[in-house]
Amino acid sequence: MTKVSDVETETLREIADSAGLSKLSDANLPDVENALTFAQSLTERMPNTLVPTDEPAHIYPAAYPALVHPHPQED
Amino acid sequence: MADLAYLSIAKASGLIKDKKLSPVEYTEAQIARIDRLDGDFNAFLAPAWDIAMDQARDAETEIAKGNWRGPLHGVPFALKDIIDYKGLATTCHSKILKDNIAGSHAVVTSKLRDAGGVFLGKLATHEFAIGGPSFDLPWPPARNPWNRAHFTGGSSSGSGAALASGMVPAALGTDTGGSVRNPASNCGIVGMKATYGRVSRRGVFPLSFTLDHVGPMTRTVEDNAMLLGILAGHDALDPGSANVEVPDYTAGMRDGIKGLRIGVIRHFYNRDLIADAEMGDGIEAALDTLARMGATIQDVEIAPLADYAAVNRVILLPEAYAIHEKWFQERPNDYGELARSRIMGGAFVRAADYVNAIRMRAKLTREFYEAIRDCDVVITASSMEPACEIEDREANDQTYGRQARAPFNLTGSPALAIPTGFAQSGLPLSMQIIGKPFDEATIYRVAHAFEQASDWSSRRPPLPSM
Repeated sequence: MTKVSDVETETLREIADSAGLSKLSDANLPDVENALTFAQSLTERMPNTLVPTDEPAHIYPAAYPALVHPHPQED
Repeated sequence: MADLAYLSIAKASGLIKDKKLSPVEYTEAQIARIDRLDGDFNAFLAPAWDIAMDQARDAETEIAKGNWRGPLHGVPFALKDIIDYKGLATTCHSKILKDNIAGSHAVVTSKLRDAGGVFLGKLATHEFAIGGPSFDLPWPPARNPWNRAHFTGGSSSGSGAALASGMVPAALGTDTGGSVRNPASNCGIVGMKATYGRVSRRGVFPLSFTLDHVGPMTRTVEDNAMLLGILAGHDALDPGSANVEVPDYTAGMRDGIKGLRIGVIRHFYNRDLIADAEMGDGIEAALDTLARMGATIQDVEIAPLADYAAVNRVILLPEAYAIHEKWFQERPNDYGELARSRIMGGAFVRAADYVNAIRMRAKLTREFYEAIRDCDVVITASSMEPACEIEDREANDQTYGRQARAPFNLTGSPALAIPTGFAQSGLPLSMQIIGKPFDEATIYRVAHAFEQASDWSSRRPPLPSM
């Protein structure tokens, strides 16, 4: 992945646009750089000890009570 | 009559039940104190004096007729302003939502009102419960009652300030990476993030669906246990809510801790991060106290703190950004700079990184519960140092992440922050007590024993009395 420090200012605008952030002003480009740096630093610090069968934390049951009984009786 | 400002809920409730304290006079006294002090601390974002006085009068009438509802009846409370109160704005301390009138109460608001609590108003937060103390928002940030030049911690910043300054005996906060426990630590009060699913999140503006918790903040452990007893319970319309029986949290609180097995995650604060010496000494002194009371203390080794912190944030940011994306695309400059730059980070986390973070969450959680299998509770640091100066942006940036709270949002464990003393500067020190899922009762048992053996919870900031 490209390091944020290598990203040219005009490229920040393209990155922001590609994320749908087209209404940011030039004054916001430092925010984009900060956000990119922050996200990149976090993902780089993520531990990498996963094996292919490690499942995500939120695996949902087929239905939860609110869907089955949208208006539960009060006790 | 004791100073009404610092009455505990337990004490106030007894006096109210016995008709020795009028809910109207109590509420008037709290309002007068807020009017007198809050110009210095900015805890209240939206006072609700008319509502409070109406509710106080109703409580007084009901109690006079013999219809005492329980320990919160006639007792004032306040809400972090991301929690809905019907008919009032839930602003999230942001220009984005300054006119966002709630159509109904949050479930937790209804529970407090049903218990007879008197609603005093909405409290300051970090914008959308993320970022830090900001000076570019429609309302100023809350300040620390122990020294107003210092940060309260956040994001439940107004809740911490209001409790420590004696403006209110009960407040709610929310906690996604530590936002109940951080202001509890910095302000010298008690903050509980109960087990994920224990307290309904419905009617609370989300930051991160899989990490958000609502929690009680009080000045004493007993008050906290009583408040959680009111808040806890299954909500079929909150998909994260757990249908688990709610015990009487105060029932076993005075049973002592002889024979309890307490684990200590020391490497969080003496290897992964190096805590300030006074903070570390405070925790060690607390462990000595607990050992003298009959608990056994054993070290526990789990994954490095940085692993938990990174996984927490890689989950939190894209979940937050998904909620905010439309506003970021349409009105990005209506956010303050801190929240904007933090939440925007979520736009740049790759899908694979998010999925791997939730896979790592499952793995870290399994490993954590295996490591504490032989413990009744575990203890570690909350913050690594006392509160920094609120206007020192560099210090805030440096210290905000120096905490050991985020791991327990990942694991969903109940975790409580409690004072362990005071630094030479006069600012509070703290620790966390963490329990097994849905075993908040054992945390309260340990915390209450420690509180009774020390006098930290009875110390007050240097402020005028009523």
